[in-house]
Amino acid sequence: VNAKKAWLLALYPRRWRARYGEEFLALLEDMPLSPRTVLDCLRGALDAHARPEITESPARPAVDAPGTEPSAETAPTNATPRRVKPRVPGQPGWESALDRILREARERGEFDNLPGTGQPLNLEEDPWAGEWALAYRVLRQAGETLPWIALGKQIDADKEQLGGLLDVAAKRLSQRRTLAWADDERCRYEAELACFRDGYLAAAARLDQKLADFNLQVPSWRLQRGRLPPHVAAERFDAACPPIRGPKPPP
Amino acid sequence: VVSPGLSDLARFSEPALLILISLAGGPKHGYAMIEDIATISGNRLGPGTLYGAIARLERLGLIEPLRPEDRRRPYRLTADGAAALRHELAGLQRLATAGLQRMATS
Repeated sequence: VNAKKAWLLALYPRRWRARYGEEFLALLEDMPLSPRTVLDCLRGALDAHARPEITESPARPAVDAPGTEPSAETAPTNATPRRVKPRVPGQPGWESALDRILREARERGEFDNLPGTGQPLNLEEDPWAGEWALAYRVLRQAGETLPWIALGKQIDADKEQLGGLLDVAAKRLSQRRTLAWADDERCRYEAELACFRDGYLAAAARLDQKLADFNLQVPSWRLQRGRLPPHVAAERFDAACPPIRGPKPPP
Repeated sequence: VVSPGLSDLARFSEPALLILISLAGGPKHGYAMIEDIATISGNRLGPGTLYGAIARLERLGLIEPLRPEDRRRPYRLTADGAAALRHELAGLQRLATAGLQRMATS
């Protein structure tokens, strides 16, 4: 099975997968995976998380074959529905269907010893996820993350590293610069400057490539980030670590 | 009228109607529904939308699952589903008739 298709299925809640997973995967195998299909599955998965009640199907057994009428054994639920004693909302003893489901689950001990019991809620959000914060939270709770969100994190780290590199270069070169009145010191300064400059520009180019990839992956143009083209990176470096002006020293 | 309304299904109400129409022609599995619906309406449903609507229709008791054939599970219309579809189509017909009459007289 195509890993991407299995991944799409993994976005759905466990109970949904238990009921529809097999046939859903079979359906995905019958069709090409276009971006539109992926987005449609993503919306479907979010809907299934937001509306878990849609999988609470009346547990009908599958009917034997197409064309045959449901036999008496296969449809007893319709004939004699188990009636709960009707009670009036607001009166003592009244319990909504949802309350009953929750109470029964509690009585069966399904809420005991869940992971995270007794620990404070973790409400931290990912501010850069923007309007996708909800989607991301749902996915993360399902143990998944989107490739572009992971890439965004990487870009943040890279940007910080690049800024750090520039700080180090500027500090070191400004010390050397004060000694650069002598020719050989000036040569040394320029060699070091060139070395830092090459390193900085190479790192900036890698970051810019990641930004380009990121902008292609995000689901909305509003999430796109500004690029870092080579001339901007060069201007930024030259402003922090200026070359020495004036006549070149004789060779 | 006791038949559950499709209009409660929000963005799934149109796909749900298309599925009911498709199954009115006989039981079908997911891919066959998508192809059939594309033919009759020009609308190609995505898998997430299709199964969002299938789950709701099944829960409402308007369609029911049959035994899967090679992992592909067919669905068919229930008696309630047929009643709901008839109700829905009659409403659409009244709407279309009213609209066409107005177009003709204006």
